[in-house]
Amino acid sequence: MTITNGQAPVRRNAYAAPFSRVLVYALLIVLAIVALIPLYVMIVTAFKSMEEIRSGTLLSLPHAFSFEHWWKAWNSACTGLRCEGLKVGFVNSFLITIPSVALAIAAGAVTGYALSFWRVRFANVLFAVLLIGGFFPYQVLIYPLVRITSTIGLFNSLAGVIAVHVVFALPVVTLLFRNYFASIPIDLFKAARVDGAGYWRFFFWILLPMSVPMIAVAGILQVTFIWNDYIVGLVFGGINYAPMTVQLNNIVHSTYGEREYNVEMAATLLTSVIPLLVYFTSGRWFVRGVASGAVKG
Amino acid sequence: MTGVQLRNLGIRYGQVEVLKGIDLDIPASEFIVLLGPSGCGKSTLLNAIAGLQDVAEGQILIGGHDMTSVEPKNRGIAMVFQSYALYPRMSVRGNLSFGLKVAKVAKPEIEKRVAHVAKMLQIEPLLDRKPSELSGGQRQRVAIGRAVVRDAGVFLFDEPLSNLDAQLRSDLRVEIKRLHQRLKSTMIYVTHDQIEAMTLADRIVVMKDRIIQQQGTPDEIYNKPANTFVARFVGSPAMNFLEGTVRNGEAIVDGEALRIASALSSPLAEGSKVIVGVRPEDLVVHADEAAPGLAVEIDVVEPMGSEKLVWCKRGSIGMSAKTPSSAKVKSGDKVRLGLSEDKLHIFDAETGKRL
Repeated sequence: MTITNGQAPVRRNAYAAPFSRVLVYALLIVLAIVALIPLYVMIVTAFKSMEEIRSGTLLSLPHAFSFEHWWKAWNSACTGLRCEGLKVGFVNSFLITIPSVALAIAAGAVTGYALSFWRVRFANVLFAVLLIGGFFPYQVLIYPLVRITSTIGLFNSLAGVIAVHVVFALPVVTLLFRNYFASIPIDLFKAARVDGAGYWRFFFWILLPMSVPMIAVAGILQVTFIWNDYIVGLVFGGINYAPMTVQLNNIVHSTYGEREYNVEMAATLLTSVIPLLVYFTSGRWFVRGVASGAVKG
Repeated sequence: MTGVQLRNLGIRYGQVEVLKGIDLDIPASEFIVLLGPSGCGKSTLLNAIAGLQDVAEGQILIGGHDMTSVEPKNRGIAMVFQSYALYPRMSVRGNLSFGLKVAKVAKPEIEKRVAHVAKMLQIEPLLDRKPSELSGGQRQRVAIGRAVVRDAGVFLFDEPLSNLDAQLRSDLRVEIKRLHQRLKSTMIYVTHDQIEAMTLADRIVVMKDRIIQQQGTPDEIYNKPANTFVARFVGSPAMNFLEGTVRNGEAIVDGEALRIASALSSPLAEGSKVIVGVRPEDLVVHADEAAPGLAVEIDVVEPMGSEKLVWCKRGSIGMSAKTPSSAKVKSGDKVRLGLSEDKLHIFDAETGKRL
C-alpha cells in the first residue's frame, strides 16, 4: 500500500489482476455445471415421454412437457404389490419426521441443559459416553435395536421408528445444545436462581427463548437427516410405515417390463423436495445459529 | 433490617480448599466491601451467602436464621452481577418483574413496585426496551433495579462496576451509595478496586489467599494496615517499602538512620529486620540537598493536574512521592525525601505483620 499526497490509500488487489479473477470464476462455473448436470438430466427426463428417452437425447430439453409421470409417481406407481404411488410414503415420512425431530430436540435440549448448567455428578463421563455412542456406525447397532424394539413390542410400528431416530439423534443434538448453553454466562443462571426460578422455569422462560437459533440448526439437521433416512425406516417401519425413501427404492427396483425412467426421475425429485425446501428457506437461520455460538447475550 | 453472620465457613471444590474458617459479622444496614485480588475467594464467599455455592462447613445466618442450606430465593437477598446477567429475551419491565412473578406476587403490586423502582433509578423510558438495546451503564442500572424490586434485606454486589468505563463507574458508584443511604439495607459488595472499597464501605474486609487479612473502617485499613499485603493493596500509588535493621531504636535503611520509635507499639530488639512503609503523600520532596531525609534522584515526574507524582530512585530502591502541582521538580533532579516519624508504618520483615 502506498499513500501519496494525502490521497486515499490505493487498494491493490481489489479490481486489479483481472486474469486470475476470470480464472477463478471460470473454474467455479465449470465445477457448478459438472455438479448440476445430473440434476438437470433428472429434471428434463422426468418431463419426457419414454419414446423420447429411448431416442437417447439425454441432454436435450423435452419436446413436450408432460406432468403425467409426475402424477403417476405420486398416485399410482407400484411399490411391490401396492400401486398407490409415493403419496403413502410422503405421509409416512411426515408422520416419522415431525415427532422424531420434535422429540430429539426436546430430549437433546433438556439433556444439554442438565449437563451444562446443573453440574450433574459425573456429567463429563455421561457426556463422553453419549458422544462415543454417536460415533458407532449405525449398521452395527441395527440388530441389537431390532431385538430391543421387538422385545418391548415397538418393532414394525411408527413408535419404533421414531424411538430409534430419537436415540440416533440424541448425541449430536445434545452436543449442539450443551455447547451453546456452555457459551451462555453462568451469571444469568445465578440471577434466575436468586429470582426464584427452578429447573424448568429457567429452561422454559429464559433459556429456550434464547435458543431459537440453535433449535433452528438442530431442526434443519434432523429434518433432512431423518427425511433422507433409508435404513431405519426400512428395518423398523415394516410395510405400513415405510417412509418415502423406502417407497422410492421399491418403485425403482420393482418395475416389471419396461423401466419407466421418467416416472423414476419424477419420484426421486418428489422425494427430495422437502429437504431442498428446508435448505432454501432456512439457510439464513442455519448460518445465524452456527454463528450465535460466539455471540453473548 | 437484616444482619448477616458467617460462622467458621469453609468451601471446597473437590479436595481444594477455597475458603477456610471465615468468621464475619455484618450488622444490619452496614455497607461492607470484600476487597482482594482475583482468586482470593471473595466472589466465592458472596456466592455462598447467596446460596449459589455449596458450603462444606460452617454456618450462614441471615437475619438471625440459619440459611446455610436454604434456596437462594428464600434467603431474602438480591444480587447484582458484573456481567449484568439481564434476561436477554425479556424487556426491561420483564426483567424487573420476573422474580416477583415467580414469587406469585399479585399483578397490581408488581406494577406498583416496578414503577416505583424505575422512577428511583430513572429507567422509566427504558421499560419496554430489550437489554440488547441498552448501553452498559443502562444495563447495570436495570440490573440494580431488578435487585431493588425484590425488596430484600441484603444486597449482594459482585463487582458490579468492573465492566463499565471510568466515567460511568464513578457515576454509578455515587448512585449505589445514594441507594444505600435511601434503602438502609445491608449491602455486601465484592470488588478488587480499592477506590470503590474506600469510597463505598462502612467497613472493608481485605482478603487474600482464602483468608481474611484485615477488617476495619476504610480509615483503619488505610492508616493502620495490619500487614504489608493490605498496605500495598490499598492506596494508589502503593505504599513505599524500605527494608531496614533496628539499631539503637532507629531503623537503618540503606545506610541512613530513620527514627521509628513513635510508630511502634512496643520497642524492638536490637538487630531485628523490619520493613518501613511510607505512603507517597506522606513524603515531602525537598529540593535543598542539605534538608533532612533520604537522598534520591528523580526518575520520572507525572503531573496529575491536582498534584504531581514523583518517581524516585536510590540505587536499587524505587520510591514514589506526591508533591503539590506547583513544585518545580524534573527528571534527574537530586532531592531529599523527608519522612515524618508518626507517618511511618513498621512491619516485621519476616511475617509482614504490623509492629
